[in-house]
Amino acid sequence: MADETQTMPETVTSAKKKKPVGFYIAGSWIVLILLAAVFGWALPAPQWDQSFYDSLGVSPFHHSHILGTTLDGYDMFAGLVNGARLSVFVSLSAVVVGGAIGSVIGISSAYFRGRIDILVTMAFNVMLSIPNLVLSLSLISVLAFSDENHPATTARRVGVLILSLTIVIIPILGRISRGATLQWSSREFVLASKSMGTSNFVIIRKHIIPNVAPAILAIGFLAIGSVIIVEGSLAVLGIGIPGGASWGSMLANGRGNIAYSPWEVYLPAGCIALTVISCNWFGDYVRTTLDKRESKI
Amino acid sequence: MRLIFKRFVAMCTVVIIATFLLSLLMRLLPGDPAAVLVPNAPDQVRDVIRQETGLSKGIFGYYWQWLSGMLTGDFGKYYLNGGYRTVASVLQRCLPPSLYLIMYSQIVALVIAIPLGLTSAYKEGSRFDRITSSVLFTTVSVPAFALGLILSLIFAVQLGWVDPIGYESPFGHPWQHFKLMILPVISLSVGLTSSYTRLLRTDVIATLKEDYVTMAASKGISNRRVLWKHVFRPSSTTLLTSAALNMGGLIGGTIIVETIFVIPGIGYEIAYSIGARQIIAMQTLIALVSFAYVFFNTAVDLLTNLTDPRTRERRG
Amino acid sequence: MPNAMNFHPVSGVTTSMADMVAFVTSIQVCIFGGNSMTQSQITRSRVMRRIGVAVAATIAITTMASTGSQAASKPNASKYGGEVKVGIFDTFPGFCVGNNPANSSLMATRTVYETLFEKTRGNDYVGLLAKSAAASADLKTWTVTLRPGIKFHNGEALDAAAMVTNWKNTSGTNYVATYLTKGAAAAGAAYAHTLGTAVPFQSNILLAAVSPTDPLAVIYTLDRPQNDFEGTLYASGRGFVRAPAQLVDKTTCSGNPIGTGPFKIVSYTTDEMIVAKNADYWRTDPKTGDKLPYLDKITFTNVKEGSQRAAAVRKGTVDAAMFSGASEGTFIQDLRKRKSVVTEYKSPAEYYPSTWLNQGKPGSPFKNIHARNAVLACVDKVTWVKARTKGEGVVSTSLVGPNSVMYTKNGFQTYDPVFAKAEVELYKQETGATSLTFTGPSDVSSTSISNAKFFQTMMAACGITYNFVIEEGAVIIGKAFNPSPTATSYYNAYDAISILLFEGTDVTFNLPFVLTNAFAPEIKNASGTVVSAASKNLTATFFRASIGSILGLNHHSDTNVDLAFYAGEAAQSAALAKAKFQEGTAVLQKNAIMGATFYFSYELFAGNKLGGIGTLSIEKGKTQRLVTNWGIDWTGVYKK
Repeated sequence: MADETQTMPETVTSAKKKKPVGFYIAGSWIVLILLAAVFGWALPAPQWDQSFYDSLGVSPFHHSHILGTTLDGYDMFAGLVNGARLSVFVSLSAVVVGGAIGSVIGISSAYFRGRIDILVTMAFNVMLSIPNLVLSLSLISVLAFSDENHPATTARRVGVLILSLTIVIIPILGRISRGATLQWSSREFVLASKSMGTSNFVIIRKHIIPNVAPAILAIGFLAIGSVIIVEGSLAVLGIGIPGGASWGSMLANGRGNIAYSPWEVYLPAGCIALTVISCNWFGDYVRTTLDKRESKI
Repeated sequence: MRLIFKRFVAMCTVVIIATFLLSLLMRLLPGDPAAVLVPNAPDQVRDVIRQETGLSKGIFGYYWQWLSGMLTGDFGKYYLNGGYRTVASVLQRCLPPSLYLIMYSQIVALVIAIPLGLTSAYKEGSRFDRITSSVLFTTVSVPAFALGLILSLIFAVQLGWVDPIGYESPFGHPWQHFKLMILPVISLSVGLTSSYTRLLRTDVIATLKEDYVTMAASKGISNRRVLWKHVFRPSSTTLLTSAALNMGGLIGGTIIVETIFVIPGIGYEIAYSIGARQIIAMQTLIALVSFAYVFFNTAVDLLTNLTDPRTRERRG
Repeated sequence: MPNAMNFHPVSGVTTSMADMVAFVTSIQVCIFGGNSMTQSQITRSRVMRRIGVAVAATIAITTMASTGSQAASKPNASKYGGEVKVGIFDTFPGFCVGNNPANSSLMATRTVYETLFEKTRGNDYVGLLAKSAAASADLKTWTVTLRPGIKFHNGEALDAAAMVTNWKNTSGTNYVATYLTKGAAAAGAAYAHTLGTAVPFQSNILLAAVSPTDPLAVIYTLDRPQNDFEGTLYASGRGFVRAPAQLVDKTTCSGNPIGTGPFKIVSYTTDEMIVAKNADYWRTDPKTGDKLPYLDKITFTNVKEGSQRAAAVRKGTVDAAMFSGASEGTFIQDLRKRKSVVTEYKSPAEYYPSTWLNQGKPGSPFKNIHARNAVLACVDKVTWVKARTKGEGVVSTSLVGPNSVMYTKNGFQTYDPVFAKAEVELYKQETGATSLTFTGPSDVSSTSISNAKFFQTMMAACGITYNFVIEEGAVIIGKAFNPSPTATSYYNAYDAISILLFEGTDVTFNLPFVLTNAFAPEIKNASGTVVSAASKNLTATFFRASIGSILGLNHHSDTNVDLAFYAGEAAQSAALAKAKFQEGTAVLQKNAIMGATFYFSYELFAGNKLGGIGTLSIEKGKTQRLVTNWGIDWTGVYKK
């Protein structure tokens, strides 16, 4: 448990009173980001990777660049919309894939126990013994290795980024789902079905998964937030996706220009922070709802 | 005693597996690792390096040589620099800044979190509680790098109160040292503060409902005294556990903050060794961070087991 | 780049061996487009001395008007020493011959070491540690006489014997001797300490001997005639004279710099170097007779981010800071407006990044001239200068700038997308390739990556695919100048690379990079006759085999280039030399062997409390260049 509080301090929350206001704010931001990610291409914005060298570093609310341009002449609004697509894609894929793998491993190892469980627990402990930023750093630096004969395309870099983040997510969600499964699999109704000879697969599908899912979902939301942060951190460290294609990458590019065009920093940083806050809010919301439901049982 | 032994063995196993996987990962780099270490050296030199690092010996031989080196204090070298810098000498220089950073962040976070957590728990449901809760909820989510950059923009660039980057030793220039540490410490400790406060608040609320607290209160002992003596003390275990656990995570978290504020700490060195593909240094540094992390985990686990009867019962 | 590119010196180049390629070491790579360059620490020597004085004279003082006014103000009691902090953009790799500090860290290193010669504002050479130099009639024997009475920081005397020790260590002679007597492994182990920045240039020297009659005279015997040999010894500020005591102890050589300079080392780390006044320094201020230097202590600190360096000098956290016009235009332009706080010192725009198209690499498209034409014609130089240098760069009209003796517009490829597209088609037809695709490097800095992306977009507009790999600067240098004798070695690993190697007004430094084989033992003309033969000296032969072919990043095979440049160096008149150099440049341009996009300046911004910058002359009328790629001379600087 101690470990979980460590990686996901948010789970300890409180917020007993649901704030519908928060729900709407967080919800609409997430919807906005999703819309931008999916339909962003249709917006009447300039091309995101085209440099407008006649208007370098114009500030926001410029007539043709609504959020200004970077000192290199890239349109901020177009960049943010494009960045939304990549950030959403990367974090969703990593969390969905990593979460699925982690949950399958976690649920089955907790359900069947035995030696496999010991191994799995050990594997999770090993992976969690490396701080997640450090782990993804080392994974990326090895997996995204490219040389002049095999230049890493942006697509490959994105792939490696997702892969590394997925690997980071697996033990986090795996451990959560293992813990939750342990709790549920010793419940009376599970034991009862077992004694009635119901097959394990059915028990897992009918009794375990529905009960464990909300906990995984809650942590999944928090994990999306963490993944976005890690992606941004990697970009700031100069690893990850180059060239301003993601929010983190924009931040990394604009970091040096902070004194001259601060919007290069606060716009992407704001997008990252808002998205993370919204995701965490949802995670928290799901968790508290879950707690309530459980207390009713 | 048996428990200590068991935990110790478990810890060693985790560390050994983790470091072995790490060394395996380094060997996964496509191409000749010696060529990765020194892209522009003639073969004779690469041979010398292969011998020296054990890269010539296969996966297990290499790991064994690295591990025995670690145990005897030979942490490897940076080869890109002609082997002039040993990882040990770099550690000597980069550990203090990181340790100061982590220590200050912990202190700041605890100093703010304790009164805040106690008060909001005591006044659970009040406006104060609700406001702090939502503020904390928001701040815990703000990434350290975004916060660091924005603080740097406001206080260093625009207001010019502190220097945007750099590090000074506390012995040579104590005043400059603290000035330079302010922003990085804030960036790191905001998230910590929020998580500690929320942890403490939850725990204190639970403790407040315990019978012995109600009893103490009914005996007419002053609220403040009850809060400190009967409520805070037991809750502090949870808090300290979490603080200790955060040590390892903080070492990882300093990477980004050290990069932004150009503090020559261990995180900065990890980032550099990755960029320069110095796999030996990278492996050593990451292994040390992981070891610290596992060590704190185990130590905390042991301590709580031995001291807190509640945990013991639960585990039993 | 400084910012960005910043070559981690540490990193890299310092590698031991790396230095074979010695000079390579620190090149500023500018990744595509050259914007961000890494600094070159190369040994550059260029000197056009005897010859090119006339040309040069016009150039010099594009620098600051403020210099003049400062020169006028007589040094007086109001100047004093004290401590100064300087912001630079390079790291410190160490101080042995195998460690090559990049531009701005070279500035710091040069407070400890001095060179035999210095380059003046008139672009000729003046003796610093050397009193004089004389060449034989055939330009193959040079006698350098040292100034008497100069001592190293450890008390050793600077004499011909010390110079011979220096030569042996920097020329690779020790390495070759070890190689032959003790075998490859021992030589490899000794490599780092043996080879120096000057290797590629000084391996042209066959013999250095002490004159039997004069302990201060050193005789250099050259492989082929060279009319600008002082430039080789100056090595673009890198021809340090080190104390024999430092060179002899290989284990401490890198961390224990002992020179003759105005300052002594106090301490250094990768990112910081602290020096303190050398109380026994040999020079005095020629105007006042004051003892030099004035300052008590200087701290040079690496501040990678240009914005942070700019903020520091604006706020006075540092007393001076250096910037590169290739990539830090924003900060330079902002500081330029703040005349009440800082003074600008600017180098002439004599740094010429080039696009090197590799014909030697298997799989590279650039053996085909249409591929080369297409890429070079596709570079929109005007847009690049506007967008990437913020207007601080100057659009190229030749591989080098107009101040260079090599300058000619003849055959230079201009921006022509229609022609580029047509050439792409011709390339496809001739080779059967389905597309024109090539790969180059970008370093990890955001500036460099932005350059690469910008270049990629530009190429795409002409139907050319450009891929880039992102690697640490030092790694890029290692792969571009690859001396590793393995199967894939001896060629530049990239299809194309943008690096700053050309600079200045003369050719000594530029030369090894453009020849078909930088140290070819002999050159044959088109009909197969040997027109230039070289001796079979062992050291020279060894280095020809090992590094000669590494320097030419283009790996072209056009010997007309060699013939023209060697003829220029052997010329007995300045006019003939100039004509021959221009002929060489024209061949490079007409055959699209390489290209150039812009050239630029380096700048130093100093707080207005600093005086004496650029005012100290070495001899009457002979004042060192004010700002170069390695910054300024700190000897005569004081606080007002």
